[in-house]
Amino acid sequence: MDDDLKKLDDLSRRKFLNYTARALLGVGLASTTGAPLWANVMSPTKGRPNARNVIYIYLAGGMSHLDTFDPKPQADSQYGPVNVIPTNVAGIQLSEWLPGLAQRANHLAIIRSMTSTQGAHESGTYFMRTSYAPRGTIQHPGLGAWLMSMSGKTNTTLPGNVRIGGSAQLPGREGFLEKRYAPLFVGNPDKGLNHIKQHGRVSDEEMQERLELAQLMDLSFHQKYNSKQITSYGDMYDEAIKLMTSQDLDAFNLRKEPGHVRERYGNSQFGKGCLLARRLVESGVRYVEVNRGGWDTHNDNHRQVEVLAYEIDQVLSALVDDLYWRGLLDETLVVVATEFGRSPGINRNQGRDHHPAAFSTLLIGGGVQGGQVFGATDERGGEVAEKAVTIPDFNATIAYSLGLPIEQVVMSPSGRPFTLADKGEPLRMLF
Amino acid sequence: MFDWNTYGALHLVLLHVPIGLFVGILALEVGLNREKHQETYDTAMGVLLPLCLLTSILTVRFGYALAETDYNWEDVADHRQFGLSYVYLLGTATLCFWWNRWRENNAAKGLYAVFLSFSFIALILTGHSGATLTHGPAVLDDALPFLKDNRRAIEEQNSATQSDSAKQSNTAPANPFTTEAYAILDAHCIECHGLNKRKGGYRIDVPRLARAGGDSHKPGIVPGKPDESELIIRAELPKGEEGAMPPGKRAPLTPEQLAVLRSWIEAGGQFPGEATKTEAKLDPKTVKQLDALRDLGAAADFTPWGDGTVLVNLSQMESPDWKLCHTKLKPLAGKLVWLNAANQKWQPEFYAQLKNFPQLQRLHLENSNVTDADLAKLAMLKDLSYLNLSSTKITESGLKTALALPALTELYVHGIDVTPKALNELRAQHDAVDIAGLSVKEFPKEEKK
Repeated sequence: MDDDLKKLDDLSRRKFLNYTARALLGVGLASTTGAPLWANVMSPTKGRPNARNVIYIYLAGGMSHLDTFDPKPQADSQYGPVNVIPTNVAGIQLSEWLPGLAQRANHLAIIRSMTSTQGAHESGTYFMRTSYAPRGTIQHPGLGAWLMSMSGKTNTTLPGNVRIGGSAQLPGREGFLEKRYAPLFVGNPDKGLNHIKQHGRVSDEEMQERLELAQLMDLSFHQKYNSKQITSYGDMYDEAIKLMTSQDLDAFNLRKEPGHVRERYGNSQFGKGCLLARRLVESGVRYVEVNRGGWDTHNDNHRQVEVLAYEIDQVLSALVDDLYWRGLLDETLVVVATEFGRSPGINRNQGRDHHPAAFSTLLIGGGVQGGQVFGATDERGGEVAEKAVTIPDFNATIAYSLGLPIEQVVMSPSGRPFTLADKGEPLRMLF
Repeated sequence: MFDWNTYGALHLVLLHVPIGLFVGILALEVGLNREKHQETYDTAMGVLLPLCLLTSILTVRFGYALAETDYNWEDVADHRQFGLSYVYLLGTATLCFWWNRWRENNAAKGLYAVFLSFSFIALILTGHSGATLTHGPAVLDDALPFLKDNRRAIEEQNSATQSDSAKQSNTAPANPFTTEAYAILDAHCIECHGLNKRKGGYRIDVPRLARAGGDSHKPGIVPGKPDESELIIRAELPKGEEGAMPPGKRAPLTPEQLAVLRSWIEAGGQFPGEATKTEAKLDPKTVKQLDALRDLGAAADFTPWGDGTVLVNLSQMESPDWKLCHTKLKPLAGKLVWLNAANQKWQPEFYAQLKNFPQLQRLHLENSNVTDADLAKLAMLKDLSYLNLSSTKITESGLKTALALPALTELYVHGIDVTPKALNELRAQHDAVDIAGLSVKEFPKEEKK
């Protein structure tokens, strides 16, 4: 077993070498040479990419940007626009349903000029998570897997890439990368990890024997097919066993958290998911994804969004405070993303329909300067009016804040070239 | 509307059909006794040839769709050209066949044989280049081992020439036209081909994308070759011509401006800031030192800033031995700017020896056993801007010591035992420092059940 672990280290070390070489030759350079004209202006006095970790919050269904982060109080809508409230940053207004975040706007970078080309949930989600439109012939990796493969995890027995809520099958998994970069799926944040306890009737010794037997059975197969993909599966077993016996498992136990902290996050699954995300990041997990569905408000948009917005307002406020107070917000990038926005027009069910042409996302922390709004939509909120941000651009920005090599070409097993954010160009001026 | 691009992947399935039909055609040509079975031959060929041609055309169309969505246009150039010539040759062969059937003549027969043979060759070449794309360049070597040595020789040659050109580019002088050329682009092009608009999917403000080109799939700037650069080609088109740039009522570029752009691209087409940037070399020594730390169980990495500085995270180690860590950290002293030493019970000398790392900018000590007295030993860290003391036993006097650090801008005090009043006073005194967090006294009381 020890030998196996060493082997694992070898592999990650090679990756590490590879990565650092690229990182030095690639992304970082713009920052060392001051502000070249073309490098969409980055002054050294402002922030710099600082992120080590990502908490990726995904609002599935398509968040209505018009009723949350990009309200249009002047627009005339037969059901009335949402009222706006001032924030603690002069000149930025948010929907009245986000009172908590309005008080923390100095931490938020709101991107109001997102634009997508995919108007259906499946393809929109796929595009958002991978920067590529879905293709029948290949599965593209998500950012968590890219981070694991290019930079590796912090040295802990916990997995480096965790997905909370949603479904284990959602796109943005390991794609064509190795299996061990896939996110560990936690369905219910309250229950933590399933199947992690040793069976009561199996003693440690027996467990060891069984594992050895399994290894023995695999031996000839491994010798015959000594490929990365195959050993990758073996690594997963080793990591699972390490995890079972680890002290770090406490990170998954929300009851270890004091009552007043749990209260701030609230009692919803989403709140608990975000609390778990913070605990995991504190314990060295580098990429945590928290999913919250229900934003597909085709019916009765205003009433539904009000409920949803108050929930994310409470949870995100708690998360931002919590990370900020602990000094983690600087090196943890909180991303709030969704697949598309919702239409300015109200349909006959008092709902809003899919609207990929314009929507909003949030970046918080990780070196991103808070208290700014990037881009704008037209007066109805239907089209991007300035500084359009494509989904590859958005994902490239996340990668940039982590210091990942955006231009590095990675070959899929079938020999096709890919980069982690397709042709995306990071928004360096956000930092 | 039927969207070809969605079904590009069908190319990979459909391509087998014309190949199968073509084999059938060849089999009939070779195996069928023409004198005995002229009628059968005519009927069979009359079906097979058009069918083969039709499926070939379909395959090519799907191939275009696949190339547009999943592949780099240049990478598939060979495959595309072979495929197209195959279709043209087969089409001509089919025409000759019908010509011969319409009015039997030897010229048609001969031409038919020639075109069919050539289309066979083109098909083989297309198939091979396609297989190389899908299965990698080693596709034949694996089946035919004797080819391997050949390929290795070619690879060696390639790498040799590559390193030669790399040497050259290192010594290349800065491009004298860069500033002027960029000013022209900035004044006339970047408004529409920049961050805000990206017309035609093309951006000129980012060097990488300016070279790659836009939706036309033609390279925008080919260093050294202005005539192949779409940017120049479009700018030189006469006013009113399809695709001429700048479009509409805007004034075209003057001949002088075009000349500048041409000379700029001829000289390499570097963007401002690019020519001066020295290729940051990966320092193998640093990598080795980081490796040594990883072997200890620490996380060690370069910072995301790309300036060769490093960060080390000791917070997830199981009871680390500081002496050992220190010997491994020592060689990195000049580069270590970010140290995470949280969650640990450090030996007393740890805090004293932190002065050996004068470059430190970010220091995590949350949940550690740091005391007020230890903080006094940090005074040597003149660049320290981030200090995390959350959940430690630090008191007000310790905070005052910490706040004396000259470069400090962020101080985290969440969960330490200081009165809220004292914290607010410190905040008022040090408005340049962001003192973040709640003191334990501000935590809501737990309800006792």
